[in-house]
Amino acid sequence: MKRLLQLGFILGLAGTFALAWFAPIFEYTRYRSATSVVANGGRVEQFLVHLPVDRIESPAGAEVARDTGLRLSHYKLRDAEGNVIGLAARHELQTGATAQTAWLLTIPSRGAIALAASGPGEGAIEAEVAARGLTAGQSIDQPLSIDSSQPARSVSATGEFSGIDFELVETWVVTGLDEDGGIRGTLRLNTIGRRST
Amino acid sequence: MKYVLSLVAGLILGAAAAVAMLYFNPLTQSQSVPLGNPELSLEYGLSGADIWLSTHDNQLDIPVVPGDVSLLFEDGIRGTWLSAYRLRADSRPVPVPATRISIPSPESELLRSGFLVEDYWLISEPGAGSLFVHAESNQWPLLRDTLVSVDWLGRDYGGPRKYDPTRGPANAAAEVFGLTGTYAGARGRARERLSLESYDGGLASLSGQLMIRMAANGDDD
Repeated sequence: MKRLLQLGFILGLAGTFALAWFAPIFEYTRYRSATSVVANGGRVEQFLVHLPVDRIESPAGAEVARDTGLRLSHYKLRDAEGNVIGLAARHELQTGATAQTAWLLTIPSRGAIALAASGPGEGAIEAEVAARGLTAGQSIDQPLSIDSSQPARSVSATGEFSGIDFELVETWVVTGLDEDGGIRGTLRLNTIGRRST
Repeated sequence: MKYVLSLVAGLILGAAAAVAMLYFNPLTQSQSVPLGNPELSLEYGLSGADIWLSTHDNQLDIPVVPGDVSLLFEDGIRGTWLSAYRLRADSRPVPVPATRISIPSPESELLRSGFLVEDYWLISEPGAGSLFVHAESNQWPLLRDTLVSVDWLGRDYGGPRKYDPTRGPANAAAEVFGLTGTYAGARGRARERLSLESYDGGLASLSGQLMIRMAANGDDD
Protein backbone atom coordinates (compact mmCIF):
# COMPACT_ATOMS: atom_id res chain seq x y z
CA MET A 1 0.00 0.00 0.00
CA LYS A 2 2.83 2.34 0.86
CA ARG A 3 4.45 1.50 -2.48
CA LEU A 4 1.19 2.33 -4.30
CA LEU A 5 0.94 5.65 -2.46
CA GLN A 6 4.50 6.48 -3.53
CA LEU A 7 3.82 5.37 -7.10
CA GLY A 8 0.66 7.52 -7.18
CA PHE A 9 2.59 10.50 -5.81
CA ILE A 10 5.25 10.20 -8.49
CA LEU A 11 2.66 9.74 -11.23
CA GLY A 12 0.65 12.75 -9.98
CA LEU A 13 3.78 14.91 -9.81
CA ALA A 14 5.07 13.85 -13.23
CA GLY A 15 1.62 14.05 -14.83
CA THR A 16 1.04 17.60 -13.60
CA PHE A 17 4.48 18.72 -14.77
CA ALA A 18 3.86 17.08 -18.14
CA LEU A 19 0.53 18.89 -18.37
CA ALA A 20 2.19 22.22 -17.50
CA TRP A 21 4.81 21.59 -20.18
CA PHE A 22 2.79 20.13 -23.03
CA ALA A 23 -0.76 21.44 -22.64
CA PRO A 24 -1.39 24.22 -25.17
CA ILE A 25 -2.48 27.32 -23.25
CA PHE A 26 -3.12 29.30 -26.45
CA GLU A 27 -3.79 28.26 -29.99
CA TYR A 28 -5.05 30.50 -32.75
CA THR A 29 -7.12 29.43 -35.69
CA ARG A 30 -4.83 29.29 -38.66
CA TYR A 31 -6.50 29.92 -41.99
CA ARG A 32 -4.93 28.90 -45.28
CA SER A 33 -2.58 31.64 -46.53
CA ALA A 34 -3.77 32.74 -49.98
CA THR A 35 -0.36 33.60 -51.42
CA SER A 36 0.84 33.41 -54.98
CA VAL A 37 4.36 33.44 -56.40
CA VAL A 38 5.37 36.32 -58.66
CA ALA A 39 7.54 35.93 -61.75
CA ASN A 40 10.57 37.87 -60.52
CA GLY A 41 10.66 36.17 -57.13
CA GLY A 42 8.71 36.64 -53.96
CA ARG A 43 5.14 36.04 -53.00
CA VAL A 44 2.04 38.18 -53.14
CA GLU A 45 -0.63 38.20 -50.44
CA GLN A 46 -3.62 40.48 -50.08
CA PHE A 47 -5.22 41.50 -46.81
CA LEU A 48 -8.58 43.22 -46.65
CA VAL A 49 -10.26 45.75 -44.39
CA HIS A 50 -13.98 46.21 -44.90
CA LEU A 51 -15.00 49.78 -44.12
CA PRO A 52 -16.59 50.78 -41.87
CA VAL A 53 -17.24 47.42 -40.11
CA ASP A 54 -13.57 46.56 -39.57
CA ARG A 55 -12.60 49.98 -38.28
CA ILE A 56 -12.05 49.90 -34.49
CA GLU A 57 -12.60 53.38 -33.25
CA SER A 58 -13.21 55.49 -30.21
CA PRO A 59 -14.64 59.03 -30.02
CA ALA A 60 -11.59 59.96 -27.94
CA GLY A 61 -9.40 58.99 -30.89
CA ALA A 62 -10.56 62.05 -32.82
CA GLU A 63 -9.58 64.18 -29.83
CA VAL A 64 -6.11 62.61 -29.70
CA ALA A 65 -5.72 63.13 -33.44
CA ARG A 66 -6.69 66.79 -33.11
CA ASP A 67 -4.31 67.38 -30.17
CA THR A 68 -1.34 65.68 -31.79
CA GLY A 69 -1.89 66.20 -35.51
CA LEU A 70 -1.73 62.46 -36.18
CA ARG A 71 -4.15 60.18 -37.99
CA LEU A 72 -4.53 57.04 -35.89
CA SER A 73 -6.45 54.08 -37.32
CA HIS A 74 -7.07 50.58 -36.03
CA TYR A 75 -8.57 47.78 -38.07
CA LYS A 76 -9.50 44.14 -38.05
CA LEU A 77 -7.56 42.44 -40.79
CA ARG A 78 -9.10 39.84 -43.12
CA ASP A 79 -7.61 37.38 -45.56
CA ALA A 80 -8.69 37.29 -49.20
CA GLU A 81 -11.53 34.92 -48.28
CA GLY A 82 -12.94 37.35 -45.73
CA ASN A 83 -11.86 35.57 -42.50
CA VAL A 84 -10.71 37.89 -39.70
CA ILE A 85 -7.10 36.82 -39.16
CA GLY A 86 -5.44 39.74 -37.38
CA LEU A 87 -5.29 43.36 -36.31
CA ALA A 88 -3.68 46.37 -37.92
CA ALA A 89 -2.68 49.83 -36.73
CA ARG A 90 -1.85 52.79 -38.95
CA HIS A 91 -0.22 55.99 -37.68
CA GLU A 92 0.23 58.91 -40.04
CA LEU A 93 2.22 62.04 -39.24
CA GLN A 94 1.83 64.94 -41.63
CA THR A 95 5.04 66.90 -42.16
CA GLY A 96 4.38 69.62 -44.71
CA ALA A 97 3.09 68.09 -47.94
CA THR A 98 4.45 64.67 -47.02
CA ALA A 99 2.90 62.11 -44.72
CA GLN A 100 5.03 59.66 -42.77
CA THR A 101 2.97 56.50 -42.41
CA ALA A 102 3.72 53.61 -40.05
CA TRP A 103 1.83 50.33 -40.37
CA LEU A 104 1.71 47.46 -37.91
CA LEU A 105 0.12 44.24 -39.17
CA THR A 106 -0.29 41.44 -36.61
CA ILE A 107 -1.61 37.97 -37.30
CA PRO A 108 -1.63 35.93 -34.06
CA SER A 109 -1.13 32.59 -35.80
CA ARG A 110 1.72 33.88 -37.99
CA GLY A 111 3.62 36.93 -36.69
CA ALA A 112 3.83 40.67 -37.22
CA ILE A 113 5.17 43.15 -39.79
CA ALA A 114 6.07 46.81 -39.13
CA LEU A 115 6.27 48.98 -42.23
CA ALA A 116 7.02 52.60 -43.04
CA ALA A 117 6.10 54.82 -45.98
CA SER A 118 6.56 58.39 -47.02
CA GLY A 119 4.07 59.97 -49.42
CA PRO A 120 0.88 61.96 -49.82
CA GLY A 121 -0.99 59.94 -47.16
CA GLU A 122 -4.66 59.38 -46.44
CA GLY A 123 -5.45 63.06 -46.95
CA ALA A 124 -4.66 62.66 -50.64
CA ILE A 125 -7.06 59.70 -50.86
CA GLU A 126 -9.81 61.78 -49.24
CA ALA A 127 -9.03 64.70 -51.55
CA GLU A 128 -9.35 62.45 -54.58
CA VAL A 129 -12.68 61.12 -53.33
CA ALA A 130 -13.89 64.68 -52.75
CA ALA A 131 -12.69 65.66 -56.24
CA ARG A 132 -15.03 63.03 -57.69
CA GLY A 133 -17.90 64.95 -56.14
CA LEU A 134 -18.85 62.37 -53.48
CA THR A 135 -20.73 63.81 -50.53
CA ALA A 136 -21.50 62.42 -47.05
CA GLY A 137 -24.06 59.62 -47.14
CA GLN A 138 -23.72 59.10 -50.89
CA SER A 139 -23.15 55.68 -52.51
CA ILE A 140 -21.86 55.01 -56.01
CA ASP A 141 -22.48 52.09 -58.37
CA GLN A 142 -19.02 52.10 -59.94
CA PRO A 143 -16.44 51.89 -57.10
CA LEU A 144 -13.43 54.19 -57.14
CA SER A 145 -10.08 52.45 -56.86
CA ILE A 146 -7.25 54.63 -55.55
CA ASP A 147 -3.70 53.37 -54.86
CA SER A 148 -1.23 54.88 -52.41
CA SER A 149 1.48 56.37 -54.60
CA GLN A 150 4.41 55.18 -52.47
CA PRO A 151 4.59 51.60 -51.16
CA ALA A 152 5.39 51.05 -47.50
CA ARG A 153 8.51 48.94 -46.84
CA SER A 154 9.01 46.62 -43.92
CA VAL A 155 11.47 47.55 -41.20
CA SER A 156 10.96 44.57 -38.91
CA ALA A 157 9.02 41.32 -38.98
CA THR A 158 8.49 38.50 -36.51
CA GLY A 159 7.35 34.88 -36.53
CA GLU A 160 7.01 33.33 -39.95
CA PHE A 161 7.45 36.77 -41.54
CA SER A 162 10.96 37.25 -40.16
CA GLY A 163 13.71 37.17 -42.78
CA ILE A 164 11.34 38.51 -45.46
CA ASP A 165 11.33 42.04 -46.88
CA PHE A 166 7.81 43.29 -47.56
CA GLU A 167 6.34 46.03 -49.70
CA LEU A 168 2.79 47.14 -49.06
CA VAL A 169 0.52 49.12 -51.39
CA GLU A 170 -2.78 50.48 -50.08
CA THR A 171 -5.65 50.31 -52.54
CA TRP A 172 -8.77 52.13 -51.40
CA VAL A 173 -11.87 50.80 -53.16
CA VAL A 174 -14.49 53.41 -52.37
CA THR A 175 -18.19 52.59 -52.73
CA GLY A 176 -19.47 55.66 -50.91
CA LEU A 177 -19.23 57.87 -47.87
CA ASP A 178 -20.77 57.48 -44.41
CA GLU A 179 -23.07 60.09 -42.95
CA ASP A 180 -20.02 61.49 -41.11
CA GLY A 181 -17.93 61.53 -44.29
CA GLY A 182 -15.88 58.40 -43.58
CA ILE A 183 -14.93 56.17 -46.49
CA ARG A 184 -17.15 53.16 -47.16
CA GLY A 185 -15.72 50.29 -49.17
CA THR A 186 -12.65 48.09 -48.88
CA LEU A 187 -9.05 48.88 -48.05
CA ARG A 188 -6.88 46.32 -49.85
CA LEU A 189 -3.41 45.86 -48.45
CA ASN A 190 -1.38 44.26 -51.21
CA THR A 191 1.93 42.85 -49.98
CA ILE A 192 4.88 41.47 -51.86
CA GLY A 193 7.38 39.56 -49.73
CA ARG A 194 10.89 38.65 -50.85
CA ARG A 195 13.44 36.69 -48.88
CA SER A 196 16.00 39.10 -47.36
CA THR A 197 19.41 38.99 -49.03
CA MET B 1 -10.29 -1.30 -3.04
CA LYS B 2 -7.80 0.02 -0.50
CA TYR B 3 -5.03 -0.35 -3.10
CA VAL B 4 -6.97 1.83 -5.53
CA LEU B 5 -7.57 4.40 -2.78
CA SER B 6 -3.85 4.45 -1.99
CA LEU B 7 -3.01 5.04 -5.64
CA VAL B 8 -5.60 7.80 -5.98
CA ALA B 9 -4.46 9.45 -2.72
CA GLY B 10 -0.89 9.35 -4.03
CA LEU B 11 -1.96 10.87 -7.35
CA ILE B 12 -3.80 13.72 -5.58
CA LEU B 13 -0.88 14.42 -3.25
CA GLY B 14 1.59 14.33 -6.16
CA ALA B 15 -0.53 16.67 -8.26
CA ALA B 16 -0.97 19.05 -5.32
CA ALA B 17 2.79 19.09 -4.69
CA ALA B 18 3.42 19.80 -8.38
CA VAL B 19 0.89 22.65 -8.43
CA ALA B 20 2.55 24.18 -5.33
CA MET B 21 5.96 23.91 -7.00
CA LEU B 22 4.61 25.54 -10.18
CA TYR B 23 3.07 28.36 -8.12
CA PHE B 24 6.42 29.18 -6.50
CA ASN B 25 8.52 28.15 -9.51
CA PRO B 26 11.53 30.53 -9.64
CA LEU B 27 12.02 29.87 -13.36
CA THR B 28 8.77 31.66 -14.22
CA GLN B 29 9.38 34.79 -12.12
CA SER B 30 10.33 38.21 -13.49
CA GLN B 31 13.98 38.24 -14.43
CA SER B 32 14.50 41.62 -16.03
CA VAL B 33 15.50 44.85 -14.30
CA PRO B 34 14.48 48.42 -15.25
CA LEU B 35 16.53 49.90 -18.06
CA GLY B 36 19.16 52.32 -16.77
CA ASN B 37 19.23 55.89 -18.11
CA PRO B 38 16.46 55.56 -20.69
CA GLU B 39 16.25 58.32 -23.30
CA LEU B 40 12.51 58.02 -23.35
CA SER B 41 10.43 56.99 -20.36
CA LEU B 42 6.78 56.72 -21.31
CA GLU B 43 4.11 56.24 -18.67
CA TYR B 44 0.50 55.16 -18.89
CA GLY B 45 -2.41 53.92 -16.81
CA LEU B 46 -5.25 51.55 -17.59
CA SER B 47 -7.83 54.06 -16.43
CA GLY B 48 -8.53 57.75 -16.92
CA ALA B 49 -7.42 59.82 -19.87
CA ASP B 50 -4.29 57.80 -20.68
CA ILE B 51 -6.13 54.97 -22.37
CA TRP B 52 -8.55 55.94 -25.14
CA LEU B 53 -9.11 52.57 -26.80
CA SER B 54 -9.09 49.09 -25.32
CA THR B 55 -10.75 46.00 -26.70
CA HIS B 56 -10.46 42.23 -26.39
CA ASP B 57 -12.80 39.24 -26.33
CA ASN B 58 -14.36 40.32 -23.01
CA GLN B 59 -12.64 37.48 -21.13
CA LEU B 60 -9.94 39.68 -19.57
CA ASP B 61 -10.01 41.70 -16.33
CA ILE B 62 -9.08 44.77 -18.36
CA PRO B 63 -11.48 47.67 -19.01
CA VAL B 64 -13.06 47.94 -22.48
CA VAL B 65 -12.84 51.53 -23.75
CA PRO B 66 -15.21 52.90 -24.96
CA GLY B 67 -17.94 50.60 -23.70
CA ASP B 68 -19.46 50.07 -27.13
CA VAL B 69 -16.21 49.39 -29.00
CA SER B 70 -16.06 46.47 -31.43
CA LEU B 71 -14.91 43.36 -29.52
CA LEU B 72 -12.28 40.92 -30.77
CA PHE B 73 -14.44 37.80 -30.77
CA GLU B 74 -13.44 36.21 -34.09
CA ASP B 75 -11.55 32.89 -33.94
CA GLY B 76 -8.42 34.30 -35.59
CA ILE B 77 -7.94 37.07 -32.99
CA ARG B 78 -9.66 35.71 -29.85
CA GLY B 79 -7.44 36.22 -26.79
CA THR B 80 -5.65 39.27 -28.20
CA TRP B 81 -5.82 42.74 -26.68
CA LEU B 82 -5.74 46.00 -28.67
CA SER B 83 -5.20 49.21 -26.73
CA ALA B 84 -4.27 52.80 -27.56
CA TYR B 85 -2.80 55.42 -25.23
CA ARG B 86 -1.71 58.94 -24.68
CA LEU B 87 1.71 58.11 -23.20
CA ARG B 88 3.15 60.66 -20.79
CA ALA B 89 6.81 61.64 -20.73
CA ASP B 90 8.46 64.30 -18.58
CA SER B 91 10.78 65.12 -21.45
CA ARG B 92 7.96 65.65 -23.96
CA PRO B 93 5.54 68.62 -23.85
CA VAL B 94 2.62 66.75 -25.44
CA PRO B 95 1.36 63.20 -24.92
CA VAL B 96 2.78 60.57 -27.25
CA PRO B 97 0.08 58.48 -28.99
CA ALA B 98 0.70 54.74 -29.04
CA THR B 99 -1.01 51.54 -30.08
CA ARG B 100 -0.32 48.25 -28.34
CA ILE B 101 -1.34 44.84 -29.65
CA SER B 102 -0.81 42.05 -27.12
CA ILE B 103 -0.97 38.44 -28.23
CA PRO B 104 -0.67 35.58 -25.71
CA SER B 105 2.06 33.30 -27.03
CA PRO B 106 1.45 29.64 -27.94
CA GLU B 107 4.92 29.04 -26.43
CA SER B 108 3.57 29.75 -22.94
CA GLU B 109 4.09 26.95 -20.44
CA LEU B 110 4.33 27.08 -16.67
CA LEU B 111 7.40 24.88 -16.18
CA ARG B 112 10.19 27.08 -17.57
CA SER B 113 8.99 30.25 -19.29
CA GLY B 114 5.68 31.37 -17.77
CA PHE B 115 2.67 33.04 -19.35
CA LEU B 116 4.22 34.67 -22.38
CA VAL B 117 2.70 37.56 -24.30
CA GLU B 118 3.99 39.07 -27.53
CA ASP B 119 3.61 42.83 -27.20
CA TYR B 120 3.75 44.99 -30.32
CA TRP B 121 3.87 48.76 -29.80
CA LEU B 122 3.51 51.42 -32.47
CA ILE B 123 4.54 54.72 -30.88
CA SER B 124 4.30 58.01 -32.78
CA GLU B 125 5.79 61.16 -31.40
CA PRO B 126 4.24 64.33 -32.87
CA GLY B 127 6.81 66.26 -34.87
CA ALA B 128 9.36 63.46 -34.64
CA GLY B 129 8.42 60.04 -35.97
CA SER B 130 7.25 56.52 -35.25
CA LEU B 131 8.84 53.66 -33.36
CA PHE B 132 8.02 49.96 -33.40
CA VAL B 133 8.69 48.02 -30.19
CA HIS B 134 8.54 44.23 -30.05
CA ALA B 135 8.55 42.80 -26.53
CA GLU B 136 8.17 39.30 -25.21
CA SER B 137 6.67 39.60 -21.74
CA ASN B 138 6.11 37.07 -18.99
CA GLN B 139 2.85 38.02 -17.27
CA TRP B 140 2.72 34.95 -15.01
CA PRO B 141 3.80 36.80 -11.81
CA LEU B 142 1.01 39.36 -12.33
CA LEU B 143 -1.56 36.66 -13.12
CA ARG B 144 -0.44 34.54 -10.16
CA ASP B 145 -0.79 37.46 -7.72
CA THR B 146 -4.20 38.51 -9.05
CA LEU B 147 -6.21 35.85 -10.86
CA VAL B 148 -4.82 32.79 -9.04
CA SER B 149 -4.13 34.21 -5.59
CA VAL B 150 -7.05 36.63 -5.19
CA ASP B 151 -9.77 35.38 -7.57
CA TRP B 152 -9.22 31.63 -7.18
CA LEU B 153 -7.67 31.23 -3.74
CA GLY B 154 -9.49 34.14 -2.09
CA ARG B 155 -6.37 35.71 -0.60
CA ASP B 156 -5.75 39.44 -0.17
CA TYR B 157 -3.65 41.17 -2.81
CA GLY B 158 -1.78 43.16 -0.18
CA GLY B 159 0.05 46.37 -0.93
CA PRO B 160 1.20 47.88 -4.22
CA ARG B 161 3.54 45.65 -6.22
CA LYS B 162 5.84 46.15 -9.17
CA TYR B 163 6.49 43.74 -12.02
CA ASP B 164 9.22 43.66 -14.68
CA PRO B 165 7.72 41.39 -17.32
CA THR B 166 10.05 41.99 -20.28
CA ARG B 167 12.09 38.89 -21.06
CA GLY B 168 12.97 39.24 -24.74
CA PRO B 169 13.43 38.89 -27.59
CA ALA B 170 16.86 40.49 -27.00
CA ASN B 171 18.77 39.77 -23.78
CA ALA B 172 15.85 40.37 -21.37
CA ALA B 173 14.88 43.47 -23.34
CA ALA B 174 12.46 44.41 -26.09
CA GLU B 175 13.72 45.38 -29.54
CA VAL B 176 13.06 48.90 -30.81
CA PHE B 177 13.02 49.87 -34.50
CA GLY B 178 12.73 53.42 -35.82
CA LEU B 179 10.16 53.54 -38.61
CA THR B 180 9.63 57.11 -39.76
CA GLY B 181 10.78 60.72 -39.32
CA THR B 182 13.78 61.38 -37.11
CA TYR B 183 13.62 57.81 -35.80
CA ALA B 184 13.93 56.19 -39.25
CA GLY B 185 16.72 53.60 -39.24
CA ALA B 186 17.35 53.88 -35.49
CA ARG B 187 17.59 50.81 -33.25
CA GLY B 188 17.36 50.37 -29.52
CA ARG B 189 16.18 48.41 -26.52
CA ALA B 190 13.21 48.78 -24.19
CA ARG B 191 11.89 47.34 -20.96
CA GLU B 192 8.56 47.73 -19.25
CA ARG B 193 7.72 48.09 -15.56
CA LEU B 194 4.19 47.55 -14.30
CA SER B 195 2.78 48.81 -11.00
CA LEU B 196 -0.45 47.53 -9.50
CA GLU B 197 -1.75 49.57 -6.56
CA SER B 198 -4.56 47.25 -5.59
CA TYR B 199 -6.60 44.40 -7.00
CA ASP B 200 -10.26 43.65 -6.43
CA GLY B 201 -11.10 41.66 -9.54
CA GLY B 202 -10.05 44.24 -12.13
CA LEU B 203 -6.78 45.75 -13.35
CA ALA B 204 -8.00 49.36 -13.51
CA SER B 205 -5.26 50.48 -11.09
CA LEU B 206 -2.49 49.02 -13.24
CA SER B 207 0.02 51.52 -14.59
CA GLY B 208 3.03 50.99 -16.77
CA GLN B 209 6.30 52.58 -17.69
CA LEU B 210 8.00 51.82 -21.00
CA MET B 211 11.69 52.71 -20.90
CA ILE B 212 13.42 53.09 -24.27
CA ARG B 213 17.10 53.55 -24.99
CA MET B 214 18.20 54.14 -28.55
CA ALA B 215 21.59 53.06 -29.84
CA ALA B 216 23.24 53.72 -33.15
CA ASN B 217 24.57 50.17 -33.36
CA GLY B 218 21.35 48.64 -32.16
CA ASP B 219 22.84 47.04 -29.07
CA ASP B 220 23.19 48.88 -25.82
CA ASP B 221 23.32 46.03 -23.36
